[in-house]
Amino acid sequence: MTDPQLTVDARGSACPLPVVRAKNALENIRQGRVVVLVNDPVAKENVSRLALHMGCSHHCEQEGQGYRITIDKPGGHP
Amino acid sequence: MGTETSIDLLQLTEHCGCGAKLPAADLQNLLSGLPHPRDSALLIGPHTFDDGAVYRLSDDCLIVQTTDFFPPVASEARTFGCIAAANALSDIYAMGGRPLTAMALLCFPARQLPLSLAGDILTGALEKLDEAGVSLVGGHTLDDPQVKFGLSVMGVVEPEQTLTNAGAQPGDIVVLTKPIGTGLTITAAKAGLAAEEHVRDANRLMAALNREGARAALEAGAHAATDVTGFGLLGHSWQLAKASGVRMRLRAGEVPVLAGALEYASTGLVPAAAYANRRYLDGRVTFSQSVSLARQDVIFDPQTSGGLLVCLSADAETKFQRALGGQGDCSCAVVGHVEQGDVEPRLLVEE
Repeated sequence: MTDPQLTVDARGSACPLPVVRAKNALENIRQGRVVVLVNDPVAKENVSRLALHMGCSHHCEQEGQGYRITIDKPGGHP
Repeated sequence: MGTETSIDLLQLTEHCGCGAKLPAADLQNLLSGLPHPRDSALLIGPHTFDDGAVYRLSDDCLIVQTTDFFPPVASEARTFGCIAAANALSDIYAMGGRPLTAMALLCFPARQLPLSLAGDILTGALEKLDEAGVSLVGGHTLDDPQVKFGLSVMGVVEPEQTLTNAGAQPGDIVVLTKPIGTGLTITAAKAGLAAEEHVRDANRLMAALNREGARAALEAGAHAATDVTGFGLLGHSWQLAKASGVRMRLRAGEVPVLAGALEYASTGLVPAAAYANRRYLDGRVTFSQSVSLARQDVIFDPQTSGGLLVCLSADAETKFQRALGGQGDCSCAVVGHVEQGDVEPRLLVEE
């Protein structure tokens, strides 16, 4: 069974909005993947900090004019 | 009157307070292309990163001039006015001067927002000016889609009491008079993720005058001083070190930080200007490995109405502390010291 995947398209939003939306998405799932799309390096850096802070693994890649940040939230604690 | 209280000024702006400044690198490029003023009575002009310009009227009378204005830093109009005034006055204090008169600069969307909101901003500013003993003597308004407010301030300074960026000496200690982290706290507030008491603390701190800090610096015979604003603790430290032809060693762990700010940094609530400050100092600062990313973010964080960064001889610390008297929101934290060396990287940051 594949983990659920959510996409947060925060392109065109200035910080702190992409972080707020990514945070809400991560808090609303128990585990799984959230993909965040942003189009400025500040949002990329801030969403990466958020992922680290929430104990999630993540990686960033350039996509078009912006970035795709793939965040994996590990399974819940017993 | 019910509508005014529901308007949150922070939600009307993308960049907040001193974080809305042009990036330091762009500003430097812009200024370097302009001719230097040639009037020999201009003792301190636009090219030394100082807080204000100093002009000699006669041998015993120097005037100091400065201006500062920006988009809202607080949700509530009166608080914003108070903070904007304290921030503008700070440049005069940071030069060792006494502010006398101020002109208001107000941009306001008169057709979109109730005019009473502009009135509240001015009321806040007037309260702060009254506390500082400064008269508001005029100003200028623009009908503008983005609310912005600030002051142009004129003051006087005694020739032998001028505090500039350019006097720090090897062996000096570096003292900071207010905690930092206001940019992070404002960003968290804008995101709706800040604790109420953190915002209250930040607002109180930003509204606090730097008058006592400057007086203490003068009494303790400080060698150099500046106020910490949009370019962050590190940006202003670098400008001071550069102007003085010295290096500076800072201890990040000794820097007082507002409650909540480190947490906001690690959550990713870092203002865009903090990243611009980091880029500006690329190659000009080195961090020891133990300095965490969150702590780096805090010392790059753009401050609004931040404290004074003062360089003074180590044996003057007690005198400075005593002069400060531990009153109000001014505190005294030794955050580093000055070393010999006029080469980059001139900022060394340890935990």
